[in-house]
Amino acid sequence: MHEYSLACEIMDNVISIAEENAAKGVNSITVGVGRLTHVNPDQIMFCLETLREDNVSKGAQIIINEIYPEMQCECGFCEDGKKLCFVDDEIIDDIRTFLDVQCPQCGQTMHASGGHELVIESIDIEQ
Amino acid sequence: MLMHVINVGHDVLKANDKLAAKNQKLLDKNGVLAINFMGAIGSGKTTIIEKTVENLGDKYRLAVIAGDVIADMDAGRIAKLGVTTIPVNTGRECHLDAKLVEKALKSIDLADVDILLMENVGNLICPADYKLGEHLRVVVVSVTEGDDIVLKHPMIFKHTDIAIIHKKDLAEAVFASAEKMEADARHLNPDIPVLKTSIHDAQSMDKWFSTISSMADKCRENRKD
Repeated sequence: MHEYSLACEIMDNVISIAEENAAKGVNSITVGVGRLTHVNPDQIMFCLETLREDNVSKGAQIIINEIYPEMQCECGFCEDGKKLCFVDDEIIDDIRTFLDVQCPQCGQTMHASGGHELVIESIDIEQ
Repeated sequence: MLMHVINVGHDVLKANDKLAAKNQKLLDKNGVLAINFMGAIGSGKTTIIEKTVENLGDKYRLAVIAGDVIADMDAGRIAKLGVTTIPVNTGRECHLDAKLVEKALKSIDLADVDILLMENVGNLICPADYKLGEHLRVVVVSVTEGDDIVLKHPMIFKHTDIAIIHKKDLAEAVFASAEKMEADARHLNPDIPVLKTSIHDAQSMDKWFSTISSMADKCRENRKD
């Protein structure tokens, strides 16, 4: 399972950073998940919550930030990809949202830039 | 108690990309063309690799990395053809990654190889996120998976160099259109070369062999430089 091994790698990193900084505990772990990866945010959250037991990060809050691509057009027009994910108040959770987007200025197909990350953004430790 | 926020900024997926770039450098140094075969279970990846070995084995020195979750049947099939074959079991994982390939490369005498064929684990999802160090990403899908398979897996087609639509001779029997699949692949990736193949149509397979040959020749020339 993709998410479990990624969560293990994240947790290994968190533990070694906590040790390097002589942490007594970890309050929170913030992870950024790119919307164009096949990483499922709910599953990575579940795996991290499972893995935080019995180590320095026990009880840490897991915060997942979704990272949206920037939509770019050859004509120079740019737009935050997040805007494409909301129709009224409804969130569209589909990779295809970013793949077939026409530029509102010139009509060409836009290119999604970024959104391929899985980043340990920060950890909040107690010293 | 002192609280302290540490900004980490470590990208777990990019760490794989860095290792993949290192693998590619090693392959380039040895003039090896590396191909990553991605595709679903039963799409025909192993058969295409077998046919490639049979057809190009006289002209090029080939090696194969055969990825599977636990079994080594595919590696056994390919090794029977007398080509260097390294089986790689991913265990829990649904894809090959750059670390597994780095380890496998240590078992191959790269100075003695022109083309390295890497068979990924049967899966159209996770391999899209993981580079291995390959020069060419090839997606193999068959008409028997249903002709909506391309649109169901847009990311792998978006980030691939060649699409092979295999078992085209079975399309009618399974009520699928290879032409629709080709059009879908081009819709997602307009410049992508699409080959419609069947092992019962020698001409269609020859197109694949000549595509690979011309790329391997370029790598060979680079090695001479």
